[in-house]
Amino acid sequence: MKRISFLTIGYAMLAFVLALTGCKRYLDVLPSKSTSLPITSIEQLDALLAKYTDFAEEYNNAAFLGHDDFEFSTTLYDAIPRFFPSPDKVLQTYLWDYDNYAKTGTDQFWSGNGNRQGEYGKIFRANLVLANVGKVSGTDADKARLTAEAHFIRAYSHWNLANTYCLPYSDKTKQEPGLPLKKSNSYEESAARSTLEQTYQFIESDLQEALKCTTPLVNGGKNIHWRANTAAVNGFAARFYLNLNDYEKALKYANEALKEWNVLVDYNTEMSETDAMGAGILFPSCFIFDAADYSQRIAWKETMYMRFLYSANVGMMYFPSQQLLGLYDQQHDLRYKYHMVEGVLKMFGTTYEYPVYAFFSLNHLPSGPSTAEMFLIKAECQARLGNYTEGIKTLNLLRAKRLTPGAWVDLAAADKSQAIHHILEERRRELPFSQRWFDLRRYNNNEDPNDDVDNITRTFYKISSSAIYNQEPPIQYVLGKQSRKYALPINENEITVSGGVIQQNTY
Amino acid sequence: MAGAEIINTILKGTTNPIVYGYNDDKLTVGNFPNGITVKNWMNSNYSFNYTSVFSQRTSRFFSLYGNAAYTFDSKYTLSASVRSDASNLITDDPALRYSPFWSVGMRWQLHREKFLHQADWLDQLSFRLTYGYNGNIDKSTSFKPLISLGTIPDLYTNNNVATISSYGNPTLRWEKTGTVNAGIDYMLLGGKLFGKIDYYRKDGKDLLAQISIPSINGTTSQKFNNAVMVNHGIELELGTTHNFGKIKWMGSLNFSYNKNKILDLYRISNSPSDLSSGGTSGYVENRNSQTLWAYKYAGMYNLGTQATPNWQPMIQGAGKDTRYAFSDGWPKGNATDYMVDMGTRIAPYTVGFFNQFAYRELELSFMITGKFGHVFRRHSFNYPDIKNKALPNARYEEVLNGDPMTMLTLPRNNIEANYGSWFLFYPYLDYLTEKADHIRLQELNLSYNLPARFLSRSGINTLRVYAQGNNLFVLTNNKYHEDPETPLGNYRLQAAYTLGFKLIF
Repeated sequence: MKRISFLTIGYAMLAFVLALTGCKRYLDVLPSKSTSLPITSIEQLDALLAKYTDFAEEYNNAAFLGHDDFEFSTTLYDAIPRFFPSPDKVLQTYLWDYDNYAKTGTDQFWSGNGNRQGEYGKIFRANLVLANVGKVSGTDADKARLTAEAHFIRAYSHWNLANTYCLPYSDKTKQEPGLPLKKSNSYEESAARSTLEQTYQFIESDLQEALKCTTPLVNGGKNIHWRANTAAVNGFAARFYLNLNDYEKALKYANEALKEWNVLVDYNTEMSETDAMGAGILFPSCFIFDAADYSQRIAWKETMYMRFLYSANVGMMYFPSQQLLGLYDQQHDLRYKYHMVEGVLKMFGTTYEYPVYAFFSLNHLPSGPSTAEMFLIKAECQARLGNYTEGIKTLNLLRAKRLTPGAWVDLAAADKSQAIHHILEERRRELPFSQRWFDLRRYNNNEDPNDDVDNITRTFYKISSSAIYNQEPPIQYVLGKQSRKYALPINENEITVSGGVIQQNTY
Repeated sequence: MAGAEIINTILKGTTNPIVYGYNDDKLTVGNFPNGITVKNWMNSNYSFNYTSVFSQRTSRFFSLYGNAAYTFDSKYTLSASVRSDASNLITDDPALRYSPFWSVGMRWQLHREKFLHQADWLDQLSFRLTYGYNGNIDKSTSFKPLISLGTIPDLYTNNNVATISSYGNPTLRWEKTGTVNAGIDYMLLGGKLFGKIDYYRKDGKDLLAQISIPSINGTTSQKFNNAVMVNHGIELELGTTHNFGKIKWMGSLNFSYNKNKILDLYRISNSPSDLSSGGTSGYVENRNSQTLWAYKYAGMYNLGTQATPNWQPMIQGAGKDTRYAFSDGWPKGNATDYMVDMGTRIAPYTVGFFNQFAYRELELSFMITGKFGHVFRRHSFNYPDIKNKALPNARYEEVLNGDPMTMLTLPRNNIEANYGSWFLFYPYLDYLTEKADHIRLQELNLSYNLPARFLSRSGINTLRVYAQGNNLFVLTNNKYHEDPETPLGNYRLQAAYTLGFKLIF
């Protein structure tokens, strides 16, 4: 009996081993054909980066309203108090109440929220592509294309974050905290913040990889601007070097980008007004009320890389400051005519009138590199490098597409500083909100004292963590020229779950 | 005995089966040739809901098992079993698909021993000891991130798109639990008394826990196999049958005790939302896995001045004078420093008591269950938030007349237009924790079987008339009389009455 049982066990073990080897292929069949797939092909990586809704929107509160292009007066508040039932992240950014900003809710720009991807969510996708591109099936050309694109996305998002949560880069601030750098998908990678210098070195090295991109912007008669392309990559390089006050490099890359694509929308012939909501309010023809409708955004001709500044709160719109409104030649500047929309507040049941800056939707403004931005970078670099008459000429090419024809189109400058002054004013008129926060940081820390913006002041009610003291007289809020508040704080929850490894900014 | 089993299940799903550009490998479809949107009356894009969605899920299982038992001298039994279940989960390491389950056991039938032959009162007594090893694996994820393909090309770019479906769990492995079980089965006095006594201890390791992580990882939380938990308990069962004259009584009493503790968990720091929500994200080292965490309410304090008061509710911090205002949001740092362990949500003690009395054709039975030693959160007043209006619940009176130093009442300042920060805290305050002990009359049953002699000619075999009541009453141990298992706001367990008769031909 014993012998039999041993034999049985022996047979059983043999059967077991045979079965294990035989059914590997049987069990290799994936549980689903379309969901929860391991990454095996280049088409999958391509599809991941083609999902532009995971990349295009930027929930950057500082760029939305941390600067002087935005103004929300007490009169506006009194007319529609329901914009702020209590202080939220939007109001806390506007009044630079960073203690409470760090404590409330989630910071979508950093963390994302639900289906909305924060910049680190975008970086995760880029890292996923970089980790897999060498392993999947696909042509070498496709692999090189996706590698450059992933480096581009990673550089772009890190730059966005560094210019929001870290101090402006300069020799003085090099050793200040930079970002936690995400170079892989590993959860083990340290969450500690690198120095600002290391952060910029990392961004620049990714940018160099991104510049190996050879994908043209135009493919089959269409502008594929939701994907990395040579115009996008050069355009971002121009922005990157302008921000570092390296005007020669910025000029070089702006020229490269413009060589690829220099089409401007002529506001005289290609823009019109549309009653987009059927409520008698006239919006620009590129505007669609439905914030999920990308048709006009895809069709916009000036885009080199499709990214949007997204106002974080649905009820909140881009309210231009008096100072910004005063910069436009209201009679001839078609940007004023089309983008400064009157009458929107009627929808909120108030008789108080205040214009709203509208572009693609109430939430979406273009923020990625564009032809117009390249003209402005080119003009500014030319002027700063001493060739100011060329700079003004470049500027006037853009102005011709934005103003009604007439003597007012062409500006002239007697000297370099006047030229720079004209160019920076034009830049503000052309790229309000989306670039202002980054520009203020740059102006106040570059070699040129003339472009500094000393103090930004606001007059608004006193706020606490939970209340707006609208029965008391308003007070003054000031953002000083060299204030450390030019870096937004990191959400406290990030610091808690990292066990304090991520360090908060000091103010 | 040994065996093998292979199962292959394919589930296909389809909506709107007329498609253009179907791809059977990826289950993607094309857009309608003429586009799929029109403008609706708001001038927004409106998509036809014709979109075809295909899905196909394949579940494949392969199992091998064997077991053997050997009994010696009708007294000693040794048994062993081994089983491996494998499924088509996604992994780079195919060996991970095979579950390593096994168990060994022994049984000693003491009543057959010579030295107990004299004991007439003893009908049966045996001792069991088993050790088993089993586990579970999370099939929704993988070591590496997984993606999901969009079912139709993007509306505006016509590109195929994909998104992340799992951020990856590099610690993925089998959740393993080793169980020791020691038990005694007995029957005494000619079947009048019988039952069993069991002790078990389960050691779980590599258990899944939802861990909040810095969102620089692309996601704010991820499941990792990194919890170690010990769980042990006692189960007693006592049954009897006895005749009181013509009345036959059958009774049984069960008692069980269970306790568990998280022994080890790699979690850097606890966030308050993790702890208040519970589940695996609320695991804390050296605590019960079902711990109910609460904020200790400290009272309302004037944070303004005498002239312009600003009364704010606060929670108690670790130090005596450390308090945090609701309005300041969640306090900084590890939440276990300021949140309080109120006890466990799952009853450590449960008791079941079943009785049946039979008198001739009449039968009466009832079952009572009791659960003891755990806590639950009773409902607070449902403070209305700005978006969702709700009718005030029964606790309105309490907050209207309450003492603001001992419980959250109504807002006491005119400065705040709303009190958004209250919603982070108010449902989780310590004084809302109540003892969850309760006894429930689960079932009461009365039945009558018509004697066979009345039925013999009718062709009916059995006719049974019965009346049954379920959930007839519950005895609670909290002054709000909230049933811990169906708290306020849910449908209360309704008493159910059934009257019926049953015919068997």
